[in-house]
Amino acid sequence: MKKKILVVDDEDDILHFLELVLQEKGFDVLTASGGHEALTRAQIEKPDLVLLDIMMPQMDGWEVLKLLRVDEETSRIPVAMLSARIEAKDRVQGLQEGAIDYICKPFSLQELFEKIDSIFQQVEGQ
Amino acid sequence: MPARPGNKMRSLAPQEADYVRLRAEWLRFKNHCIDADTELPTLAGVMDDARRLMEERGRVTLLYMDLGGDGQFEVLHGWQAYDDVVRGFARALVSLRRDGLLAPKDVLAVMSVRSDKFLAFLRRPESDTLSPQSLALSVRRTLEERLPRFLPPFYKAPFGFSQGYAPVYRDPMIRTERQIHRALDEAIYAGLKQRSLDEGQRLRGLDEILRGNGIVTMVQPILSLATLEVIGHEVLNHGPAGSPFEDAERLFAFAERAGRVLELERLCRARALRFVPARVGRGTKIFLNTSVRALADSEVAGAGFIREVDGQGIRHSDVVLEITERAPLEERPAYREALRALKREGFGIAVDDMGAGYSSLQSLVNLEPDYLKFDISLVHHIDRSPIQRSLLETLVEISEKIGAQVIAEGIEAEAELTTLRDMGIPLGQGRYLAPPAPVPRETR
Repeated sequence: MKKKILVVDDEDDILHFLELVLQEKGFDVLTASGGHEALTRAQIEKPDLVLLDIMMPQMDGWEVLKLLRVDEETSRIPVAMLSARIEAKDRVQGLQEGAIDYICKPFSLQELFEKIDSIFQQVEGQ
Repeated sequence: MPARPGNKMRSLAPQEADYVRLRAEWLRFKNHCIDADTELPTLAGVMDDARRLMEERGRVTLLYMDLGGDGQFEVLHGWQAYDDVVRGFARALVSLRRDGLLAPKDVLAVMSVRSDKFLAFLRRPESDTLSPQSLALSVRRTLEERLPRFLPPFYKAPFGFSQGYAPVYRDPMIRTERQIHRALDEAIYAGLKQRSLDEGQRLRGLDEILRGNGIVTMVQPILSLATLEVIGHEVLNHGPAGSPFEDAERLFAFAERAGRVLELERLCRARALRFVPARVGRGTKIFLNTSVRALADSEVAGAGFIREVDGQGIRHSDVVLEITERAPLEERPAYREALRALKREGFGIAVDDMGAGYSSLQSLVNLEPDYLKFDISLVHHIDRSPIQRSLLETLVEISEKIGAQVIAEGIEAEAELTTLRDMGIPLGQGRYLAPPAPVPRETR
């Protein structure tokens, strides 16, 4: 079965780009351009993975992550954080809030696919 | 955000937008009423249940349990380990329902989201003659006995918590919610009183230990992960088995609060230098825990210490002072100078418990440590968490840059060992490799 990935980013260009390349790679891709929308999409569509940007206006990625965890319907969906920041404190926060991995922007496609593969392996291994 | 022209992104229909907004608000609200970690409701979330319980019964007992009471666990072991404890406690508390210690409708809650303070509103059947006092006591005993089963195996030390209780009566003159808050204040106060009584007892226990009675000295091997060859031993000291001080961290944290940690360190240092060299092979290193403050002490890290090392015929290069301190070291120029002096004497320097204090890593460059130890919060389940691995990788990179060797502490399982080895971590320590072993007692 096709894996479903929800991509969340406030920059339409990035969102659109990721939608294209992930579809190309054979994933079912959903998009959300903000935190509020991401929460609804995740609840309705139950994606297999969420790629979540940290820096977003109104509701940032950390809050989205926390709220995804509050709802039983979405609490088990693996979430990987997308960010241009690579400071150790972000990694720690990702860990604290229960993110499964961290993808630094800019990333190469190769790197992105490898990360996604390893996340799915990880999830299936549990 | 409005869609840009030429952009294929779909925008939300007005009804859809309302739903999206309401759902997010609802989740935000829910986030304050339910603690996702323990899966227990918060006090705010159970106010009405508690009120109903009181209206049905006229009187309930409010039991307050504070895990954070003796303070230092999270500081010492990190948030992950403490999360495990808090979750385990919540599960142990819920399990009391099964054996009837709590009635099915008794209300359990946490104070607020991610709090380590728990509440139980207890309603006893009228036929039951158990007084609130003996009820509180049996809850406490059962929890203490049961808690180890709900915690990961390495939290073997008895885990203390403070407890207080207060009756809540229904009084038509008073708003129920305020009545509950008032009872809560009373229960918290009772908990504090109990804690200070326990503290008095512990002070006497500490006194005994400082007189040299009951302290146990152990060594735990540090191995090369590639060859599994023993390169050194960390010296560990803890209090008498079965006492609250069997957990070394607790002993030191308590001595710290009592202002007697220096005495304790002197005692440990003297024992280490007297008993350990005979126990470990020559040419392997001895890692000695040293707090930053004790660096200025002659017996622990100064002239007296060096005399003792020389007197025992131990080579300086075989001794590594393991600095245990979470506060950023760079803020303490005096201590930095002490460290430099020790390095000049040929002693090795290790920095302990990196991971909690990751932010100060970069600032360690000036200290030129020979070893950095990453603690159990980073190592535990490393095989299962890519994000934890990526964090550790970052830290290892920095360590390499400053020329320090990494020691991974708290290796408990084969999978952790394999992962750490694959990541190229050179050294490791943990129960899976070799548990701490007691150093033979002094011959009389």
